[in-house]
Amino acid sequence: MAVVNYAKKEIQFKIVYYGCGLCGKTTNLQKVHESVPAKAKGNLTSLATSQDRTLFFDFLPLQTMSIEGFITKFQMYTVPGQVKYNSTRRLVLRNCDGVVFCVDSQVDKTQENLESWENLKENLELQKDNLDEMPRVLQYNKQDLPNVAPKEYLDYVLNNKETRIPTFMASAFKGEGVIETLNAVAKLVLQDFIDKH
Amino acid sequence: MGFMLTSDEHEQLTRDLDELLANAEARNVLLCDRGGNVIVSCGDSELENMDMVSALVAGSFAATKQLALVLGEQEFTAVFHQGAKISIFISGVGEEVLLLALFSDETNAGLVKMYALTACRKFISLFRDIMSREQIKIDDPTQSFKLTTGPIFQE
Repeated sequence: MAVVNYAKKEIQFKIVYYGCGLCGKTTNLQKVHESVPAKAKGNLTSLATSQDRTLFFDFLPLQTMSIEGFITKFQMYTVPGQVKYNSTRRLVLRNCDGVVFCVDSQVDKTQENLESWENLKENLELQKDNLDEMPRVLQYNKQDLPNVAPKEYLDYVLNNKETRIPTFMASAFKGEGVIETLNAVAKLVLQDFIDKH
Repeated sequence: MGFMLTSDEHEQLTRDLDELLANAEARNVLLCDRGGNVIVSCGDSELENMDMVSALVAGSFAATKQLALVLGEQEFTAVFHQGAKISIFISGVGEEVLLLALFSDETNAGLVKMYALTACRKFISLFRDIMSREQIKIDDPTQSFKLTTGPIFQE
């Protein structure tokens, strides 16, 4: 749900990183925080457990001039991936404008990815949003690990509809594919906003 | 759904927040949506991390709403966090907006609550108008949005 302020010439968007536990959502935001120039970012806040697992969310505010004459703010969030935190995921998804679905590409994580994907759909439906109509990208993360599934297989499992979702191969741990993913989702969010206004 | 604030609406909200700030003797007051986006803020300019405060306040309020539901309440309409030097009063403004007042230990919490709840009633009516107007497609060409060229984020 974009917030447009004509007086301040400012537009705010909310982007959420979603995915199963330990798929690399927090690592993505950490790498974005490391990579983006200081003038374009705020502090990274993590509400995590003592074991560094996300308890509530991670939050990173970013700022660009992507729309002529307007300061464009992107409020970046991650959800907690663990199954038990579903009510928290719903809270974080509220008013979101775009989603990065972060996939753990390891073969033995297929079921967890699928469950998280279905969970995302359900949670969006509960707030009267439709994943098929929302700006979204898939990030096939953890490509640096040896036991990753082929891209074709991941597409077959998660990206098998007529309209294909943009996908990005990534290793958030190494910082590869992170900014590409971010740029893609941000562009889709901006285009969606412009199309609707 | 979204908020589109015209200059007049921004001015009106700022004026009302300034009035609340003065009456309640608060340090900062802000309106944010329940997704954590700042709508308008007023007060101490030293508080730079408004975006973060707003995100955390929205999260905190949403968590207490779930707690209320578990306990059989529809919502805790207001939440108060008391600190040694700084305290926070948060109140829901209709279904989509939150009002936050941040105040020091020199201020009376009851005073803040009284003025904040009075202001809330005014804001509910204002946001009802803003949100119903948002349904209308803006077709004034002078208000169209244009993307700039080049990548959005660079390393």
